[in-house]
Amino acid sequence: MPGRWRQVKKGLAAFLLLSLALALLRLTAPREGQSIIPFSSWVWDGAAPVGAGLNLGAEKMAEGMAFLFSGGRENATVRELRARVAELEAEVARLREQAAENTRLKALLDYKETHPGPSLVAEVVGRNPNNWFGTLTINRGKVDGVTPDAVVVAPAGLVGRVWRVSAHTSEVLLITDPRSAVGAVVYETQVPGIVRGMLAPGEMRMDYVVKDEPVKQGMLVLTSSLSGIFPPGIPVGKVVRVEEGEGGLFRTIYLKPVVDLNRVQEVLVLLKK
Amino acid sequence: MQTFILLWLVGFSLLLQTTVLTYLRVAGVRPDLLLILVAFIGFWRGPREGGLWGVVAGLLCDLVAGGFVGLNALTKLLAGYLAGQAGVFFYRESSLTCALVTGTVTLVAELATYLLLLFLGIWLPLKNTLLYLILPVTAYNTVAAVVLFYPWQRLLSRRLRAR
Repeated sequence: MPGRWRQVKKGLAAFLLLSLALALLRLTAPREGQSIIPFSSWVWDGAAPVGAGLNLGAEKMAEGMAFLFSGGRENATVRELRARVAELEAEVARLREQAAENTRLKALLDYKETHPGPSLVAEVVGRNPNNWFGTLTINRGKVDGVTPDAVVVAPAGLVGRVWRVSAHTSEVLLITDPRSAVGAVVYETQVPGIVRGMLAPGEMRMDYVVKDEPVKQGMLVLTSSLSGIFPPGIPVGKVVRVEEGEGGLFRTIYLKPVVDLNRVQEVLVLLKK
Repeated sequence: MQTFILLWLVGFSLLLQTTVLTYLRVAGVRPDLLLILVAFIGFWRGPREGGLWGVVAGLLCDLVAGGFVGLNALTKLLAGYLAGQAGVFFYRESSLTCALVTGTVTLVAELATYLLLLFLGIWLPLKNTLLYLILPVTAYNTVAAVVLFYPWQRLLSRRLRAR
């Protein structure tokens, strides 16, 4: 009988602990725009230089390995040219989008010039330790003027937006995170939709894409003017496949981000005006 | 002394996980070093210590991530405890057994994470999550456990093995 009572007590204690843990889990679920909990803020601010050093070392090591395994074909010049091509492609897409936008706006006689706002360069110093979430930490925070919802871009396109900030660092929610949603448009056909993050390796899905216009593999998707947070015309991803679905008005398209989010080291934070 | 070594290992694994491991992504996922470490501790030192170190490592991971405090603590507690139970029944000196145990507890921990995210209102399609996250991480952790088994055994077994 005492043995049984002991087991009941153990069971009750385990139940109580589990309930407390679940309550804590719910209470600490990160909400957009909130400040980072003090412990994390302290760790992030303190570990930022170490993280930056480790990242740099790992990047150099990865470059060395790529050089070796490709028999010398994958070298600094090739990487530089590739980055330049991506940058120029993004620039062309942005200019085309701007030209198209100009035409539309002028036609409506409701022209509103959009000035690029202030921005600052930030370095990636850490990433979320989980595979389940797509966030990264940058070495710019409140003291630099970064606020939640500030848009984060790389030369090739959209990276994400600032989710939470500490004094000297910020957490960026990547466009591939399941909690991310971006109003976007297929550049070639101007079909709008919402790009959501997925767990699939390096993929996103664009929902609510109407079936009226054709969408093909390789087409470019840009942020749309309907998005409340992101300025229009920033490249988001390229179409990798289209899922027509049975019946209905909409289809789902799958995208690959234009930015290599696993390797991105430096980003540009577009500060709010 | 043993506690300090384990704490150092947990901290170092966490640092690697937030920085350099992103360069070792295969099929979009990186190995969960902390989970492997907790599985090793549990497998070698028993369920109680496995569970305890699971909570310590998981809690630290949650606090560094800055949200969902308890998510990793609970799943790694489960992983450490189960690895400890497996250590009671299986031969500990075999890298293959250790890797299979690590793989199995990874699978359980990842499925538990999925359920906890559902509890938090984050719905993810089960098929995609299984195919693109849970199974790749399980496979990656299993392979990584084989690689890490020998350094773990050679360098630390004398200091950390359960008496």
